[in-house]
Amino acid sequence: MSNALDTLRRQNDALRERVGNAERNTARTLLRATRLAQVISALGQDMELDVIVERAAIQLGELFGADVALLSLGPDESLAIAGHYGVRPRDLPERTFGLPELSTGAHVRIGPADDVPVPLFLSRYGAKHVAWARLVVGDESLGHLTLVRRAEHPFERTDADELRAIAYRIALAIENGRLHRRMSDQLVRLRRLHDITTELAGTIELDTIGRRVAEVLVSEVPVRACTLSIERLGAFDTLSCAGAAGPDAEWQDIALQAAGISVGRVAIAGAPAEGTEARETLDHLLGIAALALEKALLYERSREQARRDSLTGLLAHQAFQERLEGLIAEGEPFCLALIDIDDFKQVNDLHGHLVGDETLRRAAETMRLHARVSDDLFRIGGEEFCAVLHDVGAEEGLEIAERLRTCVAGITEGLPVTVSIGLAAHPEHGMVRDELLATADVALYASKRSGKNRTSVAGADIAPSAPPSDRAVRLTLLHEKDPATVVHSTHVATLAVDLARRLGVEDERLADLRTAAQLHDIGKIAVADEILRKPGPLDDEELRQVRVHPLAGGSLLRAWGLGRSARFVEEHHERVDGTGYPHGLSGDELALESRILQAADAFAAMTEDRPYRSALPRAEAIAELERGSGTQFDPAVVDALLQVLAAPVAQAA
Amino acid sequence: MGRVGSSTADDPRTAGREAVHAALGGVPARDGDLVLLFGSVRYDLHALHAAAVEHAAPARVVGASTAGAFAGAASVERGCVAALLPGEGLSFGICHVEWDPADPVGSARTAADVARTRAGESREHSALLLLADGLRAHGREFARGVYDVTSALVPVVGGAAADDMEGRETWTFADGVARTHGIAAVWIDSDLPIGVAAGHGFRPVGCPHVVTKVAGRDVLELDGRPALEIYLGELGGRLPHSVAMQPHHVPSHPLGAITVSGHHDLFPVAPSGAGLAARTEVPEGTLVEVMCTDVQGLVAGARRAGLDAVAQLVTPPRLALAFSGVDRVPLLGGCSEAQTAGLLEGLDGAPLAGFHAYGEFARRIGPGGFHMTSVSVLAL
Repeated sequence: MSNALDTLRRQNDALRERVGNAERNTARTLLRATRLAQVISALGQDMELDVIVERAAIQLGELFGADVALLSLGPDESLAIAGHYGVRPRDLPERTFGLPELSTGAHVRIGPADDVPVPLFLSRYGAKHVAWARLVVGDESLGHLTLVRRAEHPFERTDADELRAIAYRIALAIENGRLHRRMSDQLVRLRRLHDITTELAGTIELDTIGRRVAEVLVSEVPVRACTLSIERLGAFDTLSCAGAAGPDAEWQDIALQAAGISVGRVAIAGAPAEGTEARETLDHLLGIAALALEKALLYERSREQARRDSLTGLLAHQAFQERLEGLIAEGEPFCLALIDIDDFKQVNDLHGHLVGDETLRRAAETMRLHARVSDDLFRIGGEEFCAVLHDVGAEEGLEIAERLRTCVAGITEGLPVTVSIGLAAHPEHGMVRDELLATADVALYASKRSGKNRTSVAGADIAPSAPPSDRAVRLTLLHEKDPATVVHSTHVATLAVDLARRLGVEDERLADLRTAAQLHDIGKIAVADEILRKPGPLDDEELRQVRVHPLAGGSLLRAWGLGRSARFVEEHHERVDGTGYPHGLSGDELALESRILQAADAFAAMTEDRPYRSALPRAEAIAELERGSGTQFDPAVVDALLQVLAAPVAQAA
Repeated sequence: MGRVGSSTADDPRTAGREAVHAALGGVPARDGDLVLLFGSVRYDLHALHAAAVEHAAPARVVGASTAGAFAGAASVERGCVAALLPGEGLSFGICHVEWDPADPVGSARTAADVARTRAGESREHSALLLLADGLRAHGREFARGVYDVTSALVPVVGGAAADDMEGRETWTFADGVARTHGIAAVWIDSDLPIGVAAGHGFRPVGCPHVVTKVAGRDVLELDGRPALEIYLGELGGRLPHSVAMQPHHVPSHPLGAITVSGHHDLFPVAPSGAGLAARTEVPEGTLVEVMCTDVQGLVAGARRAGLDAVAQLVTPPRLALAFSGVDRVPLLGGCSEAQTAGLLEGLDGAPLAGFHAYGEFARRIGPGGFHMTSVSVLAL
């Protein structure tokens, strides 16, 4: 009986042990499954590659009960530690290390430390058992996973199975992390390209575009150095350079084309290879650059065309003003030759505008052919031209002007044509623009009244064979009486013509306006010197005498056959509200040119020194114009004048 | 040879001075010595610590507040215990920081790293003694953080400071400063091997279960069922009589998380609704068993820890420090001398000092590093 009981007892114990073992095995299996799920869950929470690998090493070390866990990335012969657990940082290799003995064979190995290689830097960690897995995605080996236990707790086969599954998940997570990083980098690059595209698209200055493109190529692609050239009239001009290439640099020359049209070239040192992302970036940037350069070149051409007279191809009035201002600012000597075609009104009246235009073209072309390369020719009015003769004084300037005159007179094709020229030298005959123009203008008039088809030099005696005209005499007398008035008149004339153009006045009407502006104060010849030069306010009688000058001037101009201009002179002190003088005309009763002359005269007067006061600051004069708008001045004229004053040339004046 | 001393004087300055004096044995301390100080929160701990520092000079003082301490075989309730660790063949590096609630792992890592640097690592063997704030249950994070510095090569041992079960503030002392929210790391370099071990003496009952749902520190489900239901099922359907220091607390039957080595990490729990409230977080997916013990088991566990620690030495131990989980006290019938006797047996009678802690640090080989309801031992 007792033997049977003992037997039963033993069987019971054995069963109990087997059940216990089974339960433990089941528990371990369950634990592994949950462990796998935990790792996968943890890996799925982050996309940053660095966080993935750092977390993976720690998770695996703790979950597998390992003392050490290593995650190494790279080829077998050149692995880099990406994540570690249980290893002192100073024991980690500074550079890459290799585990070539694991290059072939299974993707997972477990066993005693003698059987499964561990990196040399773990030699002092007393490894007893090792589990190793390769991180593989497709055919690509990304790296290794190594677990070390220092206790006598071997890794089991089920551990190997689990490690294989986890290694696969980790490899996928790493690959996803890399993709995410590449996408992020691409997104950053695309945003950068977008910013650069926006920046270049908003720029029309060639120099700015050139500089920026060169900078961007060096900083963004990057290339070592580049030189950007643009194509103009079949030739290439260097626009910008950036970077530094060594003596052994290899250069590539790449054409810049927009819509199949060449706009330039770029020479690049250190260009990225074809098929790389950097090369794609380079090609994209060059495409943007070509478009931006094309737009800038188009703008440049348009601006140049705007500066030229479409009939003759010469530079126009705006360019003339800019050039004149620039030369005076430089301070170098030059001559100004005002050239006016003789009796041109008759050509248009008798032969029509087509013949007139052809005459102008021939005259312009002839002067261009016979002018020096260094000289500038402009068409500044209907039949008016100007030649700016560089680096010459009056004597040599006279020679050049005479050559131009005789060449024009020698034109045999079409109608015969002559020109009258007035020459003034800077600084001899005028230090500032208006003064120089005024003296050249006086000289031109001298040529006209001396019989035309001649050149007169400012300040020189008029040829005795040509009797002085009444106008020329009066102008000369006025000049001697009140030189400032002549300068003022020239200033007013320039301003009035600019203003008229801004208001869309036809070119044919500009000549009369200019004449009126130049002569609007000719009536002052009759005003006593002491009144003109009085430093203080005028009394009623003095005012009455001064206020006669518009009528006096108008009478003179009519006597000279300048009826249209005479009206403008008479009306130049009227006011749009009817409170002006001499007639109290208002609004549309006043010619547009009269309203223009009013405003130009008033602004010029305010900004010039007078015997009785100093010149007002520009801003104050503008404020006065605005205050007088609608009362003293036509509002439309004031608006146009403010635009003219805001333009660069007007500001330079 | 190390020495231990204690005092239950009411005045903190007197207590600190008496305990240190006893530990010094009438011999002045030397530069390079280390004095461990474990004190009750009934004292003004600034004063206690200051007195200890003054009397121990030029030796340095490191310590923590306790839920009871022991010096040799004697329990020291609501007093203080001091232990002298002579510096021959040893170097110490100390770092005492306030841990950052946003980064407890990093705080512990920093403390360990600075302590290591200060010690110099000029000797063959090393260990890290860790005393940390025990009230905010970040022991596992602290253990994780120091592992970045100690790696698998350097064992870790220590205790989470306690406060006589008041649940208000725990204290650590080092570098002349007493602070709450502290981590005191002592890096010990030694010419001879250092022994570190842990044990608890609990055994599993019933079947393993998987933690399938948690919410913070609450275990809500085991095997997909309400955790309390599974738990009670393993205990015969009802909670055992509570011998806990706290109401509804069941220190006798913690959950034991099965490790890969087959051992169990203990998680003390208490019923909370249909689930179980643990003192630290139990990760989902953890395989656990309900554990049980008795006085003999507890004593055997402590003895085993002592034996394991001494087995790592090559000479008889000069001093041993032990950190015992506070839950063990009621399970020992409120009298911890039996456990201390078991420890001393395992330690071969070496001078012993220690305290009842809110958690224990111990790691030599294998995972983990922070334990509860266990005994961790440092033998030098």
